[in-house]
Amino acid sequence: MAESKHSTQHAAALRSTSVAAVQGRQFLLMIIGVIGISLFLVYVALSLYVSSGTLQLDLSRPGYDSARKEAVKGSEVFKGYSEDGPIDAQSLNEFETLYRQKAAEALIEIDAFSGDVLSDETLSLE
Amino acid sequence: MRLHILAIAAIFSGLLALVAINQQANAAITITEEKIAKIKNHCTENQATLNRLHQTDAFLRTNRGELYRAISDKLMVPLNRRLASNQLDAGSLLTITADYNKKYRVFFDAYISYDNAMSKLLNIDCSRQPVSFYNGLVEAREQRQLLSASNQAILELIRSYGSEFELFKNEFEADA
Repeated sequence: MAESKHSTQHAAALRSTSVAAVQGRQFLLMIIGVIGISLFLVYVALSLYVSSGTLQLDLSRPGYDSARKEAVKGSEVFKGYSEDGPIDAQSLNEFETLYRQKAAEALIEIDAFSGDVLSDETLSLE
Repeated sequence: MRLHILAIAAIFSGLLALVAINQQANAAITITEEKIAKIKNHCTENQATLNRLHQTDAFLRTNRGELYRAISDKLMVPLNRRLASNQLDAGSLLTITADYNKKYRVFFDAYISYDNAMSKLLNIDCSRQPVSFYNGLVEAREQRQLLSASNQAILELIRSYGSEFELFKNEFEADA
């Protein structure tokens, strides 16, 4: 009888030890899994950042301090033209004023991205 | 199994041929010793110039991008919708807007290619690898030309939309 009780206690102790070991392993697996998922999500986010072209437009990158300062200077909200409302002489004049203003801004730097700045002559390679 | 090996060999030789063609294309740019010497002599100042240009371009691209999107999203599209909701025919304005958005996409992609070419160029040490540097410069120059062309196409469409709007306005006022 005493022997049977002892073996039951022994079995229970063994069970609780193995349960603790499994729980410990599960916790470790969970940590590894969480790190793995995080790394995967970071990889996806960075891939999207590169493939979408956001990387090239990101002025917060190191080495773009001067560009960043310039961008902040000129930041103003342009409301634009309303989609709703009647079409009459007044509304067309309103559009014309807004369009002329923006078109003038666009057309003022007509030589933006001209090729001369990379020519042999400019870089003293001629 | 043999078929698989043959297919793999065919793909591999095709890739090798492509690499060889690419190398030949790159080798087509001949650089004289004199030019190599100039690249090395002006290396530091040119790298500084290209770095500054890269930064200025980033700002210019952001600035232009915002402006071009504002013209489309806050002027062209709202006017087209307003004309449509008033049952007025604005077919030509719609066509120009559609072309404008297509050209903006070209401009967007062209800038990415140009920026990649510039980043690649800036990573080349011109004092140690003058030939690679010059090849990179030629590539960046080509990409910049494509970018400039796409920018010019957008500007042309801005002008066209303005002219077309003037025509529409004159007709509308004449009918009224």
